[in-house]
Amino acid sequence: MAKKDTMRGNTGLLVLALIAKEDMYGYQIIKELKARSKNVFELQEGSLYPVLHTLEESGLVTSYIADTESARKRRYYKITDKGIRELEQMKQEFDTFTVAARRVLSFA
Amino acid sequence: MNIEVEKYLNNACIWLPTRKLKARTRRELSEHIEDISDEYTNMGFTRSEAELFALNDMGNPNRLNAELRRTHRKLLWLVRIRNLAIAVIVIFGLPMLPNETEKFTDGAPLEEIEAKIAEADYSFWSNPVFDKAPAELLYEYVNEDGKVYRVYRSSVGNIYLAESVKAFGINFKNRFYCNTFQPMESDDNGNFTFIRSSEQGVSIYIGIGVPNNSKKYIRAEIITLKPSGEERDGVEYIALPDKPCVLELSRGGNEYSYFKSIDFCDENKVITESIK
Repeated sequence: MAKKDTMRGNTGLLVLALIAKEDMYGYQIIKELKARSKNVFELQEGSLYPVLHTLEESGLVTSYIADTESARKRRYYKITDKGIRELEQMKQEFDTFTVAARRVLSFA
Repeated sequence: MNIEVEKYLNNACIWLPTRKLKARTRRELSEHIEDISDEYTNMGFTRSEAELFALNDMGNPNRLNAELRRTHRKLLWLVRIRNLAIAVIVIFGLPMLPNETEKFTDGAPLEEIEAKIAEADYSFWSNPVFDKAPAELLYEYVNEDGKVYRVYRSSVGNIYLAESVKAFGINFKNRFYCNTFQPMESDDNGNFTFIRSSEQGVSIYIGIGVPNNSKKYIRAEIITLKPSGEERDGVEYIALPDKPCVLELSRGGNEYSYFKSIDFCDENKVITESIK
């Protein structure tokens, strides 16, 4: 599992990036995060919800209730236009940060 | 649902700012726990084992609760401010409500008063009438608790009872709730021996005025419905006092009861007697 400090601050970005691909519910997001990061990013499952609620309060995602494949009702999260714009900006910032960090680390 | 799951959800959702948010979060977490439990169940664990593992995966409920509350702190403050505003209005607002001189003056049109009174009648004691309304004040009585009762008669002869508001143990003597009343007995000089009214559900009869010398008791026929559905008839005799007064006879509590009839009587009974 990725260390908490590594994930802190980026969880919103990662979650938003996943929701941008398709509407997802909490459990599905955790599974996707784990699978796409090849088990590097594993959140404590409950801690996803404060992140989702923050994104929703900021207007970056909205939520709605719908049936899952197993016919159970779940709350799905959907990215908003504002969320898409914010995601692009966050990605650029993250890229800038990682390029800069690599440059510094290459001296080590 | 497993009691441990119930406890987890309670701890995770406690003190969230609104009931709606609490219900929504609780449901969302519960669904997530269900999904993880399914995963463990498919691996061969029993349902209760699976639920315990699921709770472990969810993380510390108290920490989750703290994070959720931090997330919704803006809403939490809004709710606190709203509650504070309500408290301020309730505590300080009632005594500051407009008094009689602001609302009704001696010259106010009667239609205005009538409309207000009619409105009060429909909204079940929720609207005020004020002193110095053009309606004629026929009778005033202040009971031992300081509560003021007044009888008004409009120019068209309708009779109204105004009852002062009591809240938080304070009598607001210039705020009255009113309702129309039909006097059981009255004369042209505005002497009422008894006036009655009823509210939805529980009947309330209020006696006001000068006791009639020939009528010494009130005979109230009461129907009580027991929680079992059994109906019981009873009769109470209440002595009329020697001087003008207000008698409030109300029924309520665990048993639903109401007055079937209420009359004066001359029987020389003891003050109160119940007949089962």
